[in-house]
Amino acid sequence: MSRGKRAIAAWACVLALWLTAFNADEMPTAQAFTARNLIYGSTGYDVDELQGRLHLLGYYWGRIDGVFGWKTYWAVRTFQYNFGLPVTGEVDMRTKIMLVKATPNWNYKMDFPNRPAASTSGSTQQTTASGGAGTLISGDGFTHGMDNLSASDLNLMAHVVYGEARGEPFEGQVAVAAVILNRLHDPKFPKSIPAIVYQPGAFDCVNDGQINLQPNRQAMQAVIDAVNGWDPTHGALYYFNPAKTSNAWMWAQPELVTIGHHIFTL
Amino acid sequence: MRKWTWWAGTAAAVIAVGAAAFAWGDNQRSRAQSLAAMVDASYSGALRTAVADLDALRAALASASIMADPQSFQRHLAGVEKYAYAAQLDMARIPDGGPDHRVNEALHQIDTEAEHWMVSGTSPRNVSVQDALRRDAQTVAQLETQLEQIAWHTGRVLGGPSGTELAPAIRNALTRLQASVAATRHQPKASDTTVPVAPGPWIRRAEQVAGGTLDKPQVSHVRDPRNGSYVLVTGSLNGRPVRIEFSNAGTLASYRLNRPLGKARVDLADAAASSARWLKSIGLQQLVRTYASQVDGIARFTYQPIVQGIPAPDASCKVLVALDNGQVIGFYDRGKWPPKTLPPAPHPLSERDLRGRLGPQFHVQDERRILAEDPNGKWVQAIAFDGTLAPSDEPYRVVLDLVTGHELSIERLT
Repeated sequence: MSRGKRAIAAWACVLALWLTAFNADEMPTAQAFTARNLIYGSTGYDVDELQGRLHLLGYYWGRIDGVFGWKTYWAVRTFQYNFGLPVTGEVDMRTKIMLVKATPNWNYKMDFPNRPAASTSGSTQQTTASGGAGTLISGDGFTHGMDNLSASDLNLMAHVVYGEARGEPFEGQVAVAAVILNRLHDPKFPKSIPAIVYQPGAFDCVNDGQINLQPNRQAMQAVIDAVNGWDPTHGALYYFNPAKTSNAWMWAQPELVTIGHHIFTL
Repeated sequence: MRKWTWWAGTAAAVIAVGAAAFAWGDNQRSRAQSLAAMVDASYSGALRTAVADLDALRAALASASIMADPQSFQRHLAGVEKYAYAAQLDMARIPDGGPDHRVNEALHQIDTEAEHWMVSGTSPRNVSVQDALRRDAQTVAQLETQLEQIAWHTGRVLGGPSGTELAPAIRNALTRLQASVAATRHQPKASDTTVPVAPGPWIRRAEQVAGGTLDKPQVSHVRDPRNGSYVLVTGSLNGRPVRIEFSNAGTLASYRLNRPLGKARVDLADAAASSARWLKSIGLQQLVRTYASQVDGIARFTYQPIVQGIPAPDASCKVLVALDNGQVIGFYDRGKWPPKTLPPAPHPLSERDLRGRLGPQFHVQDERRILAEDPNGKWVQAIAFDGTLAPSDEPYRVVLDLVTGHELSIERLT
């Protein structure tokens, strides 16, 4: 090839690339799931895409929020059933391929007209708790509830944990949250978290106002662990700091375990 | 003249400062008094409301005893439930001075009994029901009489130097009231197995769970007055604290490794695979994964035991996986396991019968057979219906007894 022809070819390539880049927003972006499998609890743009495609097919009717929750799970199961796939509720490569084939016209712009094209690459995973849609903790507290407890209940528990046990080891903080939950299931105590916390004389941090301090991330984690079933106290209903308590009744209770500065009792 | 003016000025200043101090002190004293009076009134109010609710409860119990018509009986049982619950809340508002809450325990029992009779459609002519109603009415009448004396005693409810504690007379009376209710506390179960004294096997087992050699391991036998004892192994793994608990039988009860978490690099499905491998490595295999969540770089997976192919959600356990490297850093179990074989279901209701018990606004998305605990703690076969409730589309799970069709639980799915 002569030098002139090579120069023309090079200019043509540059022009083609420039036109491609210039019109990127107008062209259909390449839509493809990433290699990771999606299960209940997954979050991220992959889940956005999954929800968008299922929505286009009429299986998903919830919000396209990038959180693989119950509605997404049921939609996936229905899709798998109708398309002859094993009904697992989990999105593996086979399900993804079938879904992409079934929705050739789907495009990110349908669900996210204002989202920049760069963010449609598909693999960004919102695994951190802060900020992402559908996350349990955001900013100063819990954004939604879990295990039949509301976000307000969880926040109140985190305030008590921080007010009562912020200097304690992590399991000591979980233990304080576990005591609140044990009271919730015990017939001798009120039947809601606020009623337990604000029962007269129940928690020192309510009396001295420390309940109003902003809990940190560790206190919230302790609440999550307790709600998930970790009870380092094995069913304790009370606890006290032996250095600060002279209450004879407290000392007479059967001791279960000592964690940090607290003795946990029945 | 000048000297006289100076003395007069000084005297006037002293008088002015003294008057101001007096006024300020008087104002503070009035505020403290009104605050104390307000708190006093709120406690008196709780005591007197409790008396009123106990009185209404006694009337509801009497009405339920009188009426043999099933519809009236159900209506009065609803009243029993309502007033027993209200009285419990009233009692919880009182700082009783002795936290031995037997009164609330007794009221809760009445509440639960009434609920059970309502759910199971028990006949009002049933002899044991009539006996229980008579016994409950006696208990409530006795509580009401004693509490009435406390609620209407002359003088302040609060006493003591700080003004925030109950007056000794009230406290003593409440303590007598609590003591007058027969304790229903269960006796601690004796441990049926002996715990090996040698720490070696427990440390080896703990290291298997933690996946590494523990530094400075310590084994202690923690006595639990209710459930015998359990074995606690503490130590550190790579400088990070580890806490592992085993039951006497050697099964893992809980495990937690406390370490800082790096940036999340492992996706949830890979973390799920990691949790399944770990469960297999410690010998827990008959489990099925159900839910998952991820918060602050930790994935939490719920596993349910399987009995002859049927899951038991009430006995689920959790596995925690760090999303920075896929390491299992925690495990908790609820301390209850289902029976080894399925409980019998001789005449199960049809799917149509069971669906007919759901309201028209509940749209079922999924249904499956499960093992669940009934209100008496007995394992039964049940059907779980997952669906959404119109118009908010909130997801719920309804569990119905497969044989009786009774509702066992309604859970809001999050």
